[in-house]
Amino acid sequence: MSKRGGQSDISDSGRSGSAREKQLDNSKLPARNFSFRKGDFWVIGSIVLLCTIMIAGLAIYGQATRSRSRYVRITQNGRILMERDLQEFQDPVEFRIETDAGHMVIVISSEKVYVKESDCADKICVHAGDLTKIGDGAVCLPNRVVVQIVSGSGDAGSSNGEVDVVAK
Amino acid sequence: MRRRLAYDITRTAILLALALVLSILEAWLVPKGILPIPGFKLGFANIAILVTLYCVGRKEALLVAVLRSLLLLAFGGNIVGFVFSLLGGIAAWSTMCVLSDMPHVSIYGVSIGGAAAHGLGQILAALLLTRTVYVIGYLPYLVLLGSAAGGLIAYLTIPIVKALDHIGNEMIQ
Repeated sequence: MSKRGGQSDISDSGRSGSAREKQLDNSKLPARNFSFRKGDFWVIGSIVLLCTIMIAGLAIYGQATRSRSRYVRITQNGRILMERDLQEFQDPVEFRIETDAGHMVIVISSEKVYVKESDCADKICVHAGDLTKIGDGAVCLPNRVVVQIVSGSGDAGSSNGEVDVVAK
Repeated sequence: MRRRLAYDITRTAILLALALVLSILEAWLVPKGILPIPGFKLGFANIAILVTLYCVGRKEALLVAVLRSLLLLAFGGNIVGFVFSLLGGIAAWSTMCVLSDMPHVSIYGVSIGGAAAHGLGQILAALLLTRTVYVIGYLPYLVLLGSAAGGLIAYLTIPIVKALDHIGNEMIQ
């Protein structure tokens, strides 16, 4: 089915469909069967199986890291802006970050961390809500900022960035 | 042959316009925050891409997917959304091409597999943009919900493909 047959001639319209073209179109339009077939079950089954394995793996991982102390890690453009133990925040503290898209306000307390304000358009980070468990996170792509709860050893979602700035 | 070319170009262009309208309509109709996972979408635009794949061809379907992302960027999207929809779209397209060739896989399997690959592509984009492996935590939920949406999309696509086949057959006679 070559589509490079030179310029199209749109004036060649109407009822001038030749036998050759009729044959071409006939071969192009076989009767289709839209009903559910057994291959579909294989597709669905493998997707569900893989997802269940991933969810179970993440749950086991979360269980294993639950007892450890929780740290809040804020990453911008892949670099760690700050990483501190939640126990240090007995009183809630608001952090303001200047980003390419504007600013973000992140509230950190000893129980939870959440994004309060963000200048991004979709506010997905704000909708992520309270982050309490190790592995929880809020991602703001327009700002390139990730807020996450990591375990004390910092292995829940290791980042390849080096610590450039540690907020004190 | 020449008329086929013009016919295909026209249909591809109409389907591209349909994909754009569906993307915008979805952002408009489905409010942010009611869907369970941040960033999750139903993927209405995939109706148009699926129709292109079935009624026109593979190359055209890729064209519709890529141009849709580019045009959305031009119509006031941001570069982050562009990377997301581009990687998701290409992943979905390649998966749908493979699945549509397999025996015993109907349009449902093609759409569901495409939706799952779309989620995978988006997580890849998130990995690239945030450089944080944490985002993988979203993957199973995004893929599962996306696959359910893919089933719905297939159901909505069937009458369109049938209608276009019907029009095609009418033109022959």
